[in-house]
Amino acid sequence: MKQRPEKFFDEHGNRLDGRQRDEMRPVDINIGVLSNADGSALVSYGKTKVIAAVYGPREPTWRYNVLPDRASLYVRYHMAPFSTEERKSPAPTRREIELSKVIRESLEPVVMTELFPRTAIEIYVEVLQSDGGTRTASITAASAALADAGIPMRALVGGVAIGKVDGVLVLDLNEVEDNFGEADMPVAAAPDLGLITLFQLNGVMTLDELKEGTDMALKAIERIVEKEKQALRESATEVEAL
Amino acid sequence: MSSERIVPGEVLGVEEEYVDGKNTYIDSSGVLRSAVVGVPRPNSSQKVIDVEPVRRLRAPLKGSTVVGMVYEIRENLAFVELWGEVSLEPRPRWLFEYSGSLTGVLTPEQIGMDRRDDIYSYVRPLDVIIARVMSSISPYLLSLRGQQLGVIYATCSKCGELMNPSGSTFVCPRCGNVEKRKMSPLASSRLLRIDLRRLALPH
Repeated sequence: MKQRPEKFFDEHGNRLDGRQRDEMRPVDINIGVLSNADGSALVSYGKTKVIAAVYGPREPTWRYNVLPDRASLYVRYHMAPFSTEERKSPAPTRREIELSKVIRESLEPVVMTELFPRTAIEIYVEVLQSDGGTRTASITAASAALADAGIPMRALVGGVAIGKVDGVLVLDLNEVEDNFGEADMPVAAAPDLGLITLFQLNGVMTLDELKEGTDMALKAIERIVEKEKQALRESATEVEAL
Repeated sequence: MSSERIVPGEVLGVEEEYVDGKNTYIDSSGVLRSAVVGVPRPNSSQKVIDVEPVRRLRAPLKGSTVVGMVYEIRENLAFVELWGEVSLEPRPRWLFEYSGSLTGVLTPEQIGMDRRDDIYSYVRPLDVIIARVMSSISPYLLSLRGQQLGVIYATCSKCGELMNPSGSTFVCPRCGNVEKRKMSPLASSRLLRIDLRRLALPH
């Protein structure tokens, strides 16, 4: 287990990993990394790495998932046993089940499920390496993988976390800042539509901090979604003749 | 090439300029946006914008040609397990296989069946068929009305052997049984390869 650092900022006001307080970790997005999936994406936020695979629309694996008027979204968020510092049991935990729901609900507003009644769209998110911000990276990866699968969407979604450490708001928390900070606020949004699809807050913030943090997050999400768009435009698949 | 590609959510125009075509939508403030990664194809005479997707959705769409296996016949309805999509022009070839199971339904009208006829003289369980998709909503309605459409592989209903096409009928090489089907011309040319292990033939 990592120790609580004595200070979260050095004498220049930089963070432990050398970032400024409103600086993201390097974001990298790769599209179409899995050939067996209908759509896939590998996303890394610094050391955090997640892979998302999308299948469908197809007949639901579980019959009770059938909805008469739209497709059902199924999300499974899972952390690989080797993704953390100490081995994580591969069995789904309460946290993973909850995060699966959180990720699903942050994608539901943008996926055009009404076009495919009685089918299911399945999204499998696997955390390969965890260093904080896995849920937000998962949302970005799932959104890119859905677009790669050709599933109609109203807009692309991206996510980022805002935190408070030593009373200072910081962008894109890593694990140490998340574990020993005072607040963690994951946000996901579709900047094209001005739509916030996920907003959580764990910890304590003043109203002003909340407003400032939201602005910081939305600006960062704009940049993340821009990267997502660039990756999708450059993805190798050529236009298929119909 | 990549510069003209657009992604979901990108603005194509406004409601007043264009009608929303394929793979586009109009948002709550009247802005026309793309719903997929693709290339915009505006039609200025008809004021419609379509977006041609870079990657086709891996599911049956209206008008696509599919290959599947009849797995059940119930009260003149044939239920088909859809395997994947094919293209018949210029020559038959596979486009892609579906990742999960999808069900299609054939009705007597869409087989082109005479009312006095029995569905069993058109298709039978374990037949591999080429069909056209008539609706993009699950369960997918299929049609066999078409030049190239029909049964391409059939198994003998007496001994289970894969039958050979002969004229307009199938003949069993093992027991000599002759059976009638709505046969596709592709049955004799065998231009479309399928994985026969999926039929679970007795060997």
